[in-house]
Amino acid sequence: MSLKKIDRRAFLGTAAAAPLISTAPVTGFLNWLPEGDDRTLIVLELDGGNDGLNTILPLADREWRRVRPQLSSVRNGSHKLKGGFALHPSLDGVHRLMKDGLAAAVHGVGFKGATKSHFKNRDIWHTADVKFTGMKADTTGWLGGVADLLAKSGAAVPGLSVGSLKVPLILKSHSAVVPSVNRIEDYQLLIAPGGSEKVRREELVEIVKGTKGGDDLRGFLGEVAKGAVDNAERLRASLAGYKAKATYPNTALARKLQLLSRIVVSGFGTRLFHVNFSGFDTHATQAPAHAALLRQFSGGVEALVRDLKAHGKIDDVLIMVPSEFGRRAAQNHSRGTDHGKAGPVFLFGGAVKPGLHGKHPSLTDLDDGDLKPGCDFRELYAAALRWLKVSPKAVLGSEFRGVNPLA
Amino acid sequence: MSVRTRGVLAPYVPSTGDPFDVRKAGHLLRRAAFGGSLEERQRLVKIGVAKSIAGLFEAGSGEDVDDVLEDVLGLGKIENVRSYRVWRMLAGKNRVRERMSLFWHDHFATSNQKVKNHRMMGRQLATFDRLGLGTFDDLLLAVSKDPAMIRWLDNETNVRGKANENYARELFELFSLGEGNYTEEDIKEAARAFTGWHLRDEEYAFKRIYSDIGEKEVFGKKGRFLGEDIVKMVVAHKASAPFLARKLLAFFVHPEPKKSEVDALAKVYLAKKRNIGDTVRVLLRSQLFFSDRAYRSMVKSPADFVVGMVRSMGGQAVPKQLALAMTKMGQAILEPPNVAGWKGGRSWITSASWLVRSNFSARVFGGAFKLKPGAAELLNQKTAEGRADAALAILLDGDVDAKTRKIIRALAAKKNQAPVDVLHAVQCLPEGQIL
Repeated sequence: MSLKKIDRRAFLGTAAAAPLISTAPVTGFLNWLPEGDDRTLIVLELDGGNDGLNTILPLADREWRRVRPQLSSVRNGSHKLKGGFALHPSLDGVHRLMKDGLAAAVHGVGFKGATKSHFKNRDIWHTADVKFTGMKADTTGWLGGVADLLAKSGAAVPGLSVGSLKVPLILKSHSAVVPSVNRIEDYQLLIAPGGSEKVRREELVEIVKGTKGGDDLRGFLGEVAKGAVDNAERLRASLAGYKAKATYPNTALARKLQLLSRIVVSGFGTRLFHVNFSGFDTHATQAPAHAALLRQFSGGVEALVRDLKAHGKIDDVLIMVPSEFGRRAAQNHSRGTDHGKAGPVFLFGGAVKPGLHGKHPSLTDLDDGDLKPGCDFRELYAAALRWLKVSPKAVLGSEFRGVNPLA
Repeated sequence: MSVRTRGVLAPYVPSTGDPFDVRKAGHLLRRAAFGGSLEERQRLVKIGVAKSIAGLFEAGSGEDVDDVLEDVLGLGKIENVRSYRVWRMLAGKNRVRERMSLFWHDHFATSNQKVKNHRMMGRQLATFDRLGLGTFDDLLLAVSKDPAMIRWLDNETNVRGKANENYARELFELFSLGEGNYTEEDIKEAARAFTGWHLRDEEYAFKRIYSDIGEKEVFGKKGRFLGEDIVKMVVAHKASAPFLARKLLAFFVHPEPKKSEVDALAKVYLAKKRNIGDTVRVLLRSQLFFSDRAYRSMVKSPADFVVGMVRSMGGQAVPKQLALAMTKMGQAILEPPNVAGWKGGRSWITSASWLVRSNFSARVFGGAFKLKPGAAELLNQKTAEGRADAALAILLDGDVDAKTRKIIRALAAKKNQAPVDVLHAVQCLPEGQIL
């Protein structure tokens, strides 16, 4: 996706707000959007290729048990859904959310011409460019493209990668600031340890603000510095008021998700997040590993959704859970599964139409042993973009109307 | 050939009204050597501007760096190569060479995100170390045959009958001439001349069967050109000297060079037979370089900020941590964002990156580094004024206006303030971000 193709007019909702945009100071973010328009998209990526057929189990399909003689034993203790499907036993949290109207899933998401390379497929999912062959000068990720739009409208930190050191391709932008944070401290004004930190911090803030001025380089730097300490202090103040209103499990993923919740709840103004959750490349002895991964996922995401709901934020947050590919229909000789093509995508939030969407791929009409996708992943991106009030055409090049799991 | 340079590039001659003082020594060290300690700045003032500049070029100019490189490459992992590059910025004896290697890394911006081979990346930068101060002719030919570059710009798929234009295009547009100085046809034809410039076992290999030996027409000249011929034509092209001159000026002098300055430096470059080191030497010695226009006119890159701060303090540091800090600030060495290099300038500073810079300073001053006794003693002044002035001297050559000095002195006078807070506050001043 090229920046040239998009500009801020691509924001469907901001035409009327143009005067506001043009006068918004670069560092004075939170002022840049009309009130109430602070919808947030979180992409939680199941990295490695999640085995969709053992996540949403097609219980009613006898073929499933035939091609997965051992792996299909997860049906014991699974959570029954309508239409002959069930959720993996580890997904109790997801099941509860679905019953509460806060979770949905789309069957068989993928794209035509998918490869079996983790890297190539991930790059394609990240750029939304199915012809992606490699990094070019103007390559951006699809969320990065949106971040560019937000930045043009004055958002200081439109996107964030949580829990990874490097900003992933999905958030690679042309000009927007997209940091990655591991710890909340990265986002605060630190002072050297010792003494009365509160007083010393206030004094430092005073100095930073007091030395700005002028319209030259020095003035510019002073202005940014003032904006930075303002943001940091605002975040500090809002985070100070944050209390988790759900119990997060003691897992690495849950810690990342709680950090994310703190930032969302604080009203910091970041609207695009990416969180990576890896380990899904389950080629051998899949059952225990997959169960543990799904348990972490389910527990973490339920805590996040409950927390956001308790804070009154869940209607403004959409969580999308893709994976670079699904796995092959049949299990392999190591009681694992190899790289496949289509797989389900979960969605969480107040905006979802709860339950299952789309048509489950056939287990008998396969593409060389792989499920055929029934939904192009860009249809889900487009639905999310529309919900964010961003034109899918501007970001993806086309409207991609199709499956829409959002109300 | 000796050239007498007139105008803005004539040598700066210190005078009582315009002495070569700590301020100017600091400027020289920041721009040409990743900064230096107060001791070093004072030493340069003593030996004078001519010897100072000569010293920057001469120190360690004969040292062999390749042995260390191969050891580093043997460790595997791109992170190790990145740390190695930062270590060189911090400790490399030939400071101008280290500086120019960063310049070339940005100029011929190649990223490991695509190359995915730490050996090739490490060797590409070693080529900059080796040839970065020589003639542009030699450098550009080496870059054209550089394995990382060949992979980065897809020259492995550039074959007779199906030319891949990627390298030829960037060679003209970003590496040597700039847009508007060639036609699309020139690119197509030049691309044919680079067919068969491939790799074998991570080394450059000319593969004759893929090479197009037919006639090409480039810049209005016809011939059975090969890549070597194109490189020769490019370096001799009239747009090349001003193109390079502009980039050197933007790196060393001012973010927006004037045409007169570009023309003057291009002339020097041609007179120096396209020798980069000799050209840079004239530039660093010039009135322009030491002018008010140049002084504090640029934003520090993360490398300037991080390495410069450690150097100013005369401290020690773990290169890996510095490399990590630079990455967080937006400059991952060996992974520039794209083939055009880092955007740089004011775009380095955003509210997010400013915080990362400030927080890095807090950690450094809070004891993440061991300060050399010199700096520690200076900060051990009895009076608040003395401590404030020492911090300003160490980090900003003592060059701030009266109002700012008053603010910092007032901070130092507060009971709860430790010397580290004073240093941190000084580093957070706008001047702390200026190169």
